[in-house]
Amino acid sequence: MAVVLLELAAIVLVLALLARFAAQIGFSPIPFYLLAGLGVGAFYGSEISREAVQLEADVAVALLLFMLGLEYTGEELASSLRSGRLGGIVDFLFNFTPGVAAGLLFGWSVIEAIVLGGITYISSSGIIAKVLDDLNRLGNRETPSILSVLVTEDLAMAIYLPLVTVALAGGGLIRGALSALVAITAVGLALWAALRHGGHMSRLLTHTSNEVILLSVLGLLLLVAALGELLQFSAAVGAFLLGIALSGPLVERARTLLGPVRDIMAAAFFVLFAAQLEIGEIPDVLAPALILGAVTMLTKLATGWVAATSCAPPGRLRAGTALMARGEFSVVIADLAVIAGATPRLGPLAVTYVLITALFGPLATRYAGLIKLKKPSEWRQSVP
Amino acid sequence: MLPIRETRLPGVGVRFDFTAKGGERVGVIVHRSGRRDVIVCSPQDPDVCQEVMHLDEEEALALVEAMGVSHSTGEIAKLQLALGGLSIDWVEIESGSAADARTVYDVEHVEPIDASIVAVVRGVDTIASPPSSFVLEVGDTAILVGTSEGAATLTRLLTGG
Repeated sequence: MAVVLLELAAIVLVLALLARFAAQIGFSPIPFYLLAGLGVGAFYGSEISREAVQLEADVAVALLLFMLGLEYTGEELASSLRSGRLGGIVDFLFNFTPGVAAGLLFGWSVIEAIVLGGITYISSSGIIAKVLDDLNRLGNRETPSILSVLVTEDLAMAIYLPLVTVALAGGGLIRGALSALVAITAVGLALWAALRHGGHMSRLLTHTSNEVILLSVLGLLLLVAALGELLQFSAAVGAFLLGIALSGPLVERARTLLGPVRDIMAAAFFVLFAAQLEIGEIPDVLAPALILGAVTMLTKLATGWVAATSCAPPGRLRAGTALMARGEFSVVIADLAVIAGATPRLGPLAVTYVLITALFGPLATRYAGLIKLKKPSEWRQSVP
Repeated sequence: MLPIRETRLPGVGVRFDFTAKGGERVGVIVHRSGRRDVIVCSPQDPDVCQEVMHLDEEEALALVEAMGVSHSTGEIAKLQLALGGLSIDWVEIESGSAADARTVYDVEHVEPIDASIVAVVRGVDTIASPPSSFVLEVGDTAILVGTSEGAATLTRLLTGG
């Protein structure tokens, strides 16, 4: 037992060091967790229990999505969908297509190609929100456009995840589409309920004791995730909907209380996900991942450029570069496919791809200001 | 007042901003956590925040306090203080008021009232306990003390035409 504890301590302490290092250089810790996971996998790969990994992944994913749902209010989602429609459509077309095309080029099945499309489509709202705050850009004019693209992507996941979950489970695309339909209805209902009656459930759950809130919200979260799984429209979406449906002062408390739980579970998830992969595949997927990364970072640049129409070229460039980073969601999607036993290359490709974009994206947007298009005063004169 | 734009920042909070006379975009981001960012953008490039100040709730309140001095005294002028059945009130004599060019005695004795003028602020001068022969004029602020009904009646006499 002491040996297991020692090993666990070593892993957690290494993660702590990595998180510290990431914070120091102003990066998201996600790519470092993935690297640590690859390292763990190289030593202990065969000893890791698949079931334990899957259980941990389910809980971590449910928590990630629940917290994401908490981030947004029903009104924000509704108004973002209305105002960010153009950006959202362009985003999907520009960034989903390259992934699917690459998957088909590799000779993968259609479903695996769709999985890769999802991986390249979804930007990391976690990384991007943090980068915008760190760079003092939350008040910039392009920021609402960036955030509205992220919201649309996160909502799109509510349709995409059930479709892919069912399709990967061997249900085929038609059953997948059916379960996506169920999910859309559920999302619609949850949005409606949150806008109309969001207060009731929150009032039922709320309590003066932190412990009571923590346990009841966590319990409800697991219940909803289980129901989502049973009804075959993915546990993750159930968690997301619960997050949206909660409202009022309870949201702030749930966020404070469950934030640390989410952080630990997510860190473990990233490590375990990377640890179960075949490291031997990474050299083989490096070149495709680099090309795919380069292409889809350019398509994100174009997305940001289109989405931030109301801004001057430097602002549009900042928006485009900000959107480049992929992170937690791409890993979540890849994990679904890896658990379902997809082609052994998909996992390593996804990890390499996330590493590249999560490291390069924030760097690109930090230095986007150095690219001199035209001086702001000059373009302003050219506008009547 | 300048029109203030309100922009939702999903997952972050709400941004309020306006364009100042000098052309700078000035605003506040109200985070859900209670944090407030004060932002200032240069007139040359209003897309970018040139200055961002992160304030927690306490600091934001301190800033409001510091900026709101003249505004908040104006608010207080409209308040009535009540002390155990005793009312203290401020009334400015405006042009057209019946009290203009009349003595304190005349104003206080139009009808029997349970209140009296205990001081008058005229410009920078404060006349505490003015004599009955003191003549009020437009721009004076009369300080009244009395029962709440008495103060209300006296206020009516001082402001009425």
